[in-house]
Amino acid sequence: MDLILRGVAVYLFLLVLFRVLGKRSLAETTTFDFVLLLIIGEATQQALLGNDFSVTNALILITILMGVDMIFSKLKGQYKKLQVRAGLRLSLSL
Amino acid sequence: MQRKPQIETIKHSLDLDERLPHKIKGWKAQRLCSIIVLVVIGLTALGLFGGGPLSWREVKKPGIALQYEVFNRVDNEMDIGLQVRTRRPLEVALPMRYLDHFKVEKIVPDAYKSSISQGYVRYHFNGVSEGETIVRFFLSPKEVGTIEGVWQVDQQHFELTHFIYP
Repeated sequence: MDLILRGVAVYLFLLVLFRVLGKRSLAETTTFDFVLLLIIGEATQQALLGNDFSVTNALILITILMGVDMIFSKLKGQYKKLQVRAGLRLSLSL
Repeated sequence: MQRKPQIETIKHSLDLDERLPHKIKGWKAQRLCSIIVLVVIGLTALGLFGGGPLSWREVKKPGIALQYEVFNRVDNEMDIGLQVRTRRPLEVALPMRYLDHFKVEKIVPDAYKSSISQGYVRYHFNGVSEGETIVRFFLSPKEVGTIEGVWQVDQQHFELTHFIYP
């Protein structure tokens, strides 16, 4: 259960953070943005995996992250309000 | 009743590299896989891979209850708890063959004496005058697959079976 909580917490935190800071297209990204992404990946690795470096743990976490992403995209497709809110935030941040 | 996909098929002369039946098959497979992903997440929450109600087992014998995890992952610490009502010193014997598959991280409280005899590692603990003695063994599995062993607690036998994922 803690695996799921960790996965969902990190996903939601990153989602909120990236929404607040604003979306950028790939053409706008700088080299430092890529470096920052790598650092974020390193930092979240410990939080996600903890002391368990087993293959099963990694596979479950990937499944959880993909599952949460899938649920959010389904919700966004089904409830237009979610999409509008996301769009508004995007336009505000731009 | 199954709904038929409402996709308009347009006949055209363009040489496009696409086949609609294949796409429909792909969408169906995607839907099936998304259900599988949700089922896996649900089973994980229930403890199929350790740390949930599906994984925890409790074996009760007169005066002794032993809780352990059936499912776990390699190198992931698990704890096996013993609740004993006893006033005299308690002896817990773990088979050496069983311990070959685990690394003993710690035992809480510490055993005041440990010995090896007849293929068992024997840990001795002080009993308490009132209430229950709770002893926890923190073990990390070193090998993958099914691990079985019979623990002896105060001359009573407890059969433990674990399944360790890679």
